[in-house]
Amino acid sequence: MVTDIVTVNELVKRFHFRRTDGGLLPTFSGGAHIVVEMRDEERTRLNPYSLMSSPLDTRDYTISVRRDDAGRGGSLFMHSRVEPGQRMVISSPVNLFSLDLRARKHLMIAGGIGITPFLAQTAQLAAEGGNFELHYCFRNDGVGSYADFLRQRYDRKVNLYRSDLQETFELERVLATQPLGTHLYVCGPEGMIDWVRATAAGLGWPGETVHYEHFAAPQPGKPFDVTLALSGIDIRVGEHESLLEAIEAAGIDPPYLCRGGVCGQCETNVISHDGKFLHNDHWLSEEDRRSGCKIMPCVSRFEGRSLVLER
Amino acid sequence: MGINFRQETFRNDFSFKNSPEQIRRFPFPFHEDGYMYSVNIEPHVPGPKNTVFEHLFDVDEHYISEMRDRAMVLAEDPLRCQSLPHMTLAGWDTLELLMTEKAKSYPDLFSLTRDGDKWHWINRPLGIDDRFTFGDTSTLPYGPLEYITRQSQGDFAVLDQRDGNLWMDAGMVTTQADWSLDFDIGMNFFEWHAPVPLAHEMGVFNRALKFLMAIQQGQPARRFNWTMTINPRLDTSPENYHKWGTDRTTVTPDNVGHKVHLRVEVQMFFRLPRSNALLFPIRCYLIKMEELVSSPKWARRFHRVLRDLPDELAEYKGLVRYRPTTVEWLSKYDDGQPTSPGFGPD
Repeated sequence: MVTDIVTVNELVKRFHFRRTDGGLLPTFSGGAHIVVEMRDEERTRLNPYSLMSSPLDTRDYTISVRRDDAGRGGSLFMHSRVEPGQRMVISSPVNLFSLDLRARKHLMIAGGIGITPFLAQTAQLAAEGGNFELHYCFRNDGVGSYADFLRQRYDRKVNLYRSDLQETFELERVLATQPLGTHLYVCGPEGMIDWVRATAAGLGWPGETVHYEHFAAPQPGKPFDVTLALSGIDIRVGEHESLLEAIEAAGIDPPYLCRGGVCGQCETNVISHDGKFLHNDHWLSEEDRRSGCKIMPCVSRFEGRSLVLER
Repeated sequence: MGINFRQETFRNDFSFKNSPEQIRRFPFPFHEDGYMYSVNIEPHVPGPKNTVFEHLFDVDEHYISEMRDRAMVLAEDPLRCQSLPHMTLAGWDTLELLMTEKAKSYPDLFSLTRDGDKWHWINRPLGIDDRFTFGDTSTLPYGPLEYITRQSQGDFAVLDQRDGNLWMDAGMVTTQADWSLDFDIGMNFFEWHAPVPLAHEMGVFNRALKFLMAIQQGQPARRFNWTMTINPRLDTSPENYHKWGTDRTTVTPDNVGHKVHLRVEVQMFFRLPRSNALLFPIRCYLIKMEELVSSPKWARRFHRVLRDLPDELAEYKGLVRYRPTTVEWLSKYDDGQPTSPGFGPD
């Protein structure tokens, strides 16, 4: 049940969930997300959100939702249609962005709403005396969700950068001065993730010490038609619908975990196609893409005459 | 209820036996008259009464004796239980899972009382009554993984999940089919499966890894594996190969019935919530050929499986020396009749 909704700033609302029977929710680890089911008349949306509450207190789960006016409507639904007291179905927590517990130090870099998994991870680390340092970049005071909270709680472990004040995050200096055994985590917009990964690679950080989470939501696009060969069904993917959602709406349940093009679970074989793929995932290899034999229906789309999938 | 715990041995005089009730609940792993690898994973949900799947963690008549055997193995070789430094949290996850499930499944045998992080654990069959602070290793006589797996049948591998792979970074392994935790510790999924024949070419491991990495909290899975063991020895480890390797030369037509055992592993997979590690319990069940043939269907089917097993698999499972003798013995129980589908006895 939604127990509370807090307006954090002009773009972000925070939602608190508790069990309807008052019991504890499942234990989780920092970096985990849940999938929230939104029933919007005849459509069902399933959107993933990072858990930001402390893993040490599972009486409630909290998530923050940034309103995306150009998106497919999931965040707008959360912002405008969800009210305290409402019952919603959420999934068990899944962690695709977990801390590497071998690290001697955890260096975290967040951009914008990408701060949310770090709120849970810092709470977890602080409780066990873990060594962490957080760098948080955001546009202005109005959208710096939880900046004050983090600063108060963790003081100098937290570094804030406001782009409206031309405060620059000297990434190279920060990366160059870390002790051996540090692991790097980055969550934020795609450009930031690419920048951090490239800079780290250039400075010789081993790939396995660099962890990142894209929270790319599926993008809207032109409608397209698909034939699901195994089920013998033809479907149309609407403008504000993902291919995965359209497949689910047809009564077929492919496996999924992240719904964001990262985990690989919903990978689907292409039997034939005549047109162009719009691959938006971070899962398929270049070779997979060139072959035209695979698509990630959670985030990717298609433009063309025909697409036949092995579903 | 109440389980009639047997006093028996898995070494020296090998007094291990299954009661008729235990034979009936034996997890016979062949659903058809042949065997080839498959990932064969299914959800690990509680099953019918009087089966080994009635509870998530089965406790049976061999419990006390198996735990005594484990203690003997550990006394000789402490490296059978290891946990790399970053795996302590996964050890606490394991302890919580085993304690809560055991107390829920067998309230007359186990009890757990929790007041915040002050926990009180009672294990009546083993005579244990301990109070400790959850998360504080100094309040237990062993590390959390060792403490609870000294009280739980089956081996336990604890796999860290990172870099798109699973890593064998902790475990308790004393009832294994010829593999070594001390050898495998720190290896990833492909490294520790490297010796398995055929399966790599079949792409089994890529599919299995993808599935395992996606195992979610509260949705455990299980699969069967099997081999054969001469004498009811739990500890068939590489470390002790000199003690059991030669057993395989001792099979004669007269002793197959009580010397040759089908060894079935029920392998389970649980996502651990705090550490995000994967717990991989491997529970070993042994049954003598003379016990197995008390079910005519199992007798017919196992005869056919063993007779038709590809040579590579027989080699890998170490059955080559005594397979002909055992097949010959089993053939007396195979009248050529068809077998019914499914695992259970008729």
